Amino acid sequence: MAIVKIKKIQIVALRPHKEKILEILQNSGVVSVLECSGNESADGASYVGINDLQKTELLYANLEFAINLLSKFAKKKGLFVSSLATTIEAIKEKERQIDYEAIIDKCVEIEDSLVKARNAISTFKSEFETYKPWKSLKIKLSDVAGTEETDVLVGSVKTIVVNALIEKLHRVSNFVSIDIIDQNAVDSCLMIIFSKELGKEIGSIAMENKFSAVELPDYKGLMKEYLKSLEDRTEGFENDIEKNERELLDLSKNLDDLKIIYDYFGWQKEKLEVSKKFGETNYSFIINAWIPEKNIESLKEDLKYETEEFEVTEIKMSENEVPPVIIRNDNFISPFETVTKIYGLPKYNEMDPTPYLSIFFILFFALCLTDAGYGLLMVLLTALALKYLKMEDGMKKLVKLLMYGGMVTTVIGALFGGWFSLTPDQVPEFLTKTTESGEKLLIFQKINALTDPITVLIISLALGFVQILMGVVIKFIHDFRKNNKKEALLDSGTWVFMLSGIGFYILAVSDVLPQGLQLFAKWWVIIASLVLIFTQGRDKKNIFSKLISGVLSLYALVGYMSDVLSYSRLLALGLATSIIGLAVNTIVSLAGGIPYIGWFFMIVVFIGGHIFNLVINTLGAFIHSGRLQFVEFFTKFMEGGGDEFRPLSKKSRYVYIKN
Amino acid sequence: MAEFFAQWGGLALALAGAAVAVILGGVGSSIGVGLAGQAGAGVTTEQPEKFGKVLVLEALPGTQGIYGFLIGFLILLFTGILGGGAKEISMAQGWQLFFACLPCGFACLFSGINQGKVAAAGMNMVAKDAALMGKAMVLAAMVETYAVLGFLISALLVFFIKL
Repeated sequence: MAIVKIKKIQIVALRPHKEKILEILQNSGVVSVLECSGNESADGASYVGINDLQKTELLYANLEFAINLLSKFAKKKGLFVSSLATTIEAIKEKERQIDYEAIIDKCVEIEDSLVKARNAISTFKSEFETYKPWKSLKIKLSDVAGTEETDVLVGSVKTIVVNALIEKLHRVSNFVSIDIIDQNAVDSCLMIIFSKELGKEIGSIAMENKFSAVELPDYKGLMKEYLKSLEDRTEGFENDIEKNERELLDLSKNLDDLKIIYDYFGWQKEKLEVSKKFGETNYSFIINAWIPEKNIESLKEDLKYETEEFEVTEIKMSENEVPPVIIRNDNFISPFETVTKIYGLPKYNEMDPTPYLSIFFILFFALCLTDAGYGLLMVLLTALALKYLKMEDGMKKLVKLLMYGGMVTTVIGALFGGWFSLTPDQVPEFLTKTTESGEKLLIFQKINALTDPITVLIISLALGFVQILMGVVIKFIHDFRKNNKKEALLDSGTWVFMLSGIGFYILAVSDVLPQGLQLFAKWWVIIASLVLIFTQGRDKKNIFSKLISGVLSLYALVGYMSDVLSYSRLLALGLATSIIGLAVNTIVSLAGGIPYIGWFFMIVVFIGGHIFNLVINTLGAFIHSGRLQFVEFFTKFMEGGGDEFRPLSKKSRYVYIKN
Repeated sequence: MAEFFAQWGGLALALAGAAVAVILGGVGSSIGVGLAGQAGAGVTTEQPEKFGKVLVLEALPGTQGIYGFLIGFLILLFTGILGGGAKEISMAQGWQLFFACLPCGFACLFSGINQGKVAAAGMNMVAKDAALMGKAMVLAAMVETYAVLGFLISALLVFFIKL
C-alpha cells in the first residue's frame, strides 16, 4: 500500500560460487546491484569478465540483426503476436541444441550477397538507361575509334539544335559524316566522323552546341549485344536475390528459437554487466545492493541452496544516498500504478499517491464519458482482451484499469441517462420514466446534463474541491508524522483549516447546511485568514515583513481557486461525448431516409460513429483525468522524481516463462 | 431589404457563428495534426514498431476540430435547421449566437496549432524512449485545457440563449 522499505546489503561469498550466485540473484529479481567502491581487481581476473561481456554483447547484437532480417520473411501470425511461453530448462536446452552461430553466419552471408546483388542491379539498370539510345549503332563498339586519318565523336545534343549543328559542320567540310543514331523530342545521339585536321574546328562547334560526349563501354561486340549482356547479368542477380530470399524464408523457421536464444543471451549479458560492479579479493567477491527489506530472509534461503559459505550483512547507507523506489499496492489498486508511473515515481521519503488518486481518477474518467453503453462495451472488450490475449504486466494493468473505468462509466452513465446518446423518444417505452415535472427521462436517470449542465458543473467543481482539500490533508498528515510537527501544523495545518472553512461557508450560504450556521461559517473563515496572516510570515525578521508575507500568503487562495476551476473540464468532456453521440444519431436518422438501402447506412454509421466517439473520448478521458491528478492533485503533497528500483532479473522481449 | 434582414438576418448570423466555430476549430486541428503527423512520419520511418504510439500522439491536436464541430452542430440543432423547420430568430438572438461561437472558435484555433507543436516535440521523446509516451501526452494535454474551456463557455452560451 505504499512505498516499499529498501535496505542496503552487502553479500560476500567465495569466488567459485560466483556464477551460481549471480543466477540465483537474477532469478529472485529482488536485488539492484550497486557499484562496489574501491573496486580494484586483485589479479586482473575481472578483465577476463570484460572480454566475456564484449563477446556476449556482440552475439546479442548479431542475434538481433538475424531476428530483424528473418522477421521480414517469416509468415505473419495474426495481429497480436503473443509471447513464446516456455520453461527455463527448455531455453537452456535450445541454447545447447541449436547452432545459432551458424544461422547468424548464414544470415550475414545472405545479407551481404543481397546487398551486393541489389547494388549491381541498380548499377546495371542505370548503365542500361544510359546506353539504350545507342542500341541501333551498327558498328562494333571496339571499332568506334579513329583511324590514321579520321577521328570520331560520339555523344548527344539537344534535338532542337541538331539541324543547325549539322549545317555548321557541313559548312566546315563536306568530308564530315554525321549519323543520327537515335532521336527523341529532347535529345539526339550523334556519331560524327571527320578528318583529323578538322579536329579543332569541329571540337569548338560541338562545344558551342553543348555536345556532350559519351564514353562507350569497353566491349568488343555491337551495342545491341552489350545491352543484352547487361540484361542477362541483371537477371542473373535477380535470380540470386530470389534464391537468397528463399533461403531466408527457409531459415525463418528458426525465428522462434532465435528469439528464445536472444532473450537467453540478454540475461547472460545483464549478469556479466552486473558482475563488473562486484568487488573482488583473492578468494572472494563482494556485492553491494539495494533490496526490499522483506526479501532479505528469502534471499538468504535461496542462497543456501548453493552454498553455506556466504555472508549477507545490512550496511548503513551514506548521508546523501537515496534508495530507489518501488511502489506496491494490493491487486485491486495496482492497476492505478499505471497512472502514477506516467507522472513518475514519488521520492523515497514521500507518500505513494496511488491509493488516493484511484477513486478520483476512475470517477473523473467516468464523468468524461458518461455513457453507460460505452461503459458496458469497454467492460466487454477489456474482459475479452484479458481472457484471450497474452500481455505483459504493464499492458495487463492498463487494460484492467480500462475495465474499472468501463464499470464506473456504466454506473455514472446510467445516472446521467447516457445510452449511446439516445433520447428518451428513441428507446422503447418501458425503458423510460416521467418525472414529477413532466420531463421524460431514461430509466435510472437522475440528471440530464444537456438541459441542466449547471448541476454537473457544480458536481465537477465540488469533486475538485474535495480532491484538492484531500491533497492538502495528505501533506499535513505526512509532514506531521515524518517531519517537524510544529511546522506541519503551522503550514499545511492552517491551510486545511482555511480550506475546510471555505468549503463549510459555501455549503452554508448555498442552503445545503442549516441557515443558522452561516454566521459560524463566516467566523471560521475570518479566523482562518487571521491565523494564516499571523503564521505564514513567521520566518521573517521584523514585525512588518512578518505581517506583509502573512497577508501575501492569502494570495495562494487564487491558486487553489484556479485549480478547482480546472475541474470544469469534466463537464466539457462529458458534454463533448454526449453531443458527438447525438450528432452520430442525427446522421443515422438522416441516413434512414435513403430509399431501400437506408437501413444499411444506418447500421454502418451507428457502429462506426459510436466506435469513433468511444475511442477518441476514452483517450481524452484518460489523459484529462490523469492531468487532473498530476497537475492539480500531486502538486499539493509530492514532488516526485524518485529513481525506479531496477532489479537484476530475467527481463525478456519475446519469451514468457512458465513456472 | 430591411424586412428581409429582419426576417432572415438572425438565422444567418447564427449560421455564421456555427461556420466560424467549425472553420477555426478545423483549421487549428488541421495545422496541429499536420505538424504532429510530419514529426510522426519521421519517427515511424526509423522505428515502424512505434506506429501505434505515434498515431495516438498525432490524434491529440485533433480534438479542437471536434469541439468546433460540436458547437456548429448545437447551433444547427437549436435553430431547427437539422429538424427541417428553421425557427424564427431575431437579430438580437442571432448576434448572441454568433458571439457565443467565438470563444470556442478562437481558443480551438490557437490551442490546436500549439498542441500540434507540443505533440511534434513529444514525438522526439517517443523516438528516444517509448516509455516517455505518457509524459508526452500529458504535456500536449496541457495545451488542450484552453480549447476545453473555450468549448465549455460556447456550449453553455448556446444552451442558455433563449430562442
